[in-house]
Amino acid sequence: MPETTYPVRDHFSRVIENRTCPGVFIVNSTMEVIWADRRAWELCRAIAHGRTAKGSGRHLPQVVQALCEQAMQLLKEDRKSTLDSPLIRKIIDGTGGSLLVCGFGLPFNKDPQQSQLLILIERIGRRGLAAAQQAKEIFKLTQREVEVVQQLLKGWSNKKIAYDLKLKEQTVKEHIQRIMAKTKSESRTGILARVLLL
Amino acid sequence: MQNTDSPAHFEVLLVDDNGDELDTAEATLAEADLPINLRIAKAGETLALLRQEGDFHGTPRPNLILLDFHLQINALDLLSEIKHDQDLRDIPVGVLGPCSEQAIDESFEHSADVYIAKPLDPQRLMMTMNWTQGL
Repeated sequence: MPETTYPVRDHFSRVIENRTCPGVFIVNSTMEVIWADRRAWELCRAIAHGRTAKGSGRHLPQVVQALCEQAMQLLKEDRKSTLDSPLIRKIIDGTGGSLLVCGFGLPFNKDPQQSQLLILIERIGRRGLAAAQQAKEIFKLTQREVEVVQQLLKGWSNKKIAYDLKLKEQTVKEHIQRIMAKTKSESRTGILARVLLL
Repeated sequence: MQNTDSPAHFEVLLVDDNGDELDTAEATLAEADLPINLRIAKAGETLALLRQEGDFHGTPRPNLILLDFHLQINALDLLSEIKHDQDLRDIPVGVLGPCSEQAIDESFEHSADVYIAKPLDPQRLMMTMNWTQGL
């Protein structure tokens, strides 16, 4: 059997060996889930409004499906992906905290229509706490700004952050503005991406 | 089918009552020449085999169980029974079934470790083996 028949073989092994505890699933070009582990399925269910409408024909929450469609389009444009450079990498809100979703292409040389995507989905809680400390050094964040970043990583709103850190909501907004400037980000999600993808 | 020619193989137990599907799966996997020992069991004998009872004394413990979603008995009941057995619960179980949200939901609700949409091809089996070894 030629190697190209089973493109996932080496790719998947390397991905799995290099990740901590992500959920893993694979979708085909029509966005059907053809392989999934329990962790991935549970995390998809934890995404806000994640349960798909009965009879919708979709397996995935809308936000995840949109990411997969974006990644599949990139794959069809012959965009390559590696472990360090996935086709897509996005932070999305989930119940109980943010989730990092990464998508890798599994091209099928003989027939591009049979190409597939390997998707990793993981909570960024514990990993985020360490990343926030690392960001402190790199982006010259104050301790208070690190605390705000840690709250952002949990997916909390400004109001909730203000309550937890005993700050005024306006002060939280000002902290976030300063963090955005220091990390050269344009949004809360942008901050998380900069911090987590160091 | 049991391929015992090669050493240090990965033991896979495929539980399936459908003869036609079994033939197809066997042929596909044989062609792919994966490093596995594929053992096939009917649903009704699965627990005895796993517990090495009677005629199954000495049967190797599988590294992976693949359970067809449509068995002559309720596959999800069998899955639950495996996952509630202290001696068997650590064996990873993959459910092989249709590409349907309901089947995936029900399988994970009954403690499946992975879900594999049919057909079982070498790529999907290889992925499952890699995943199992990464546990």
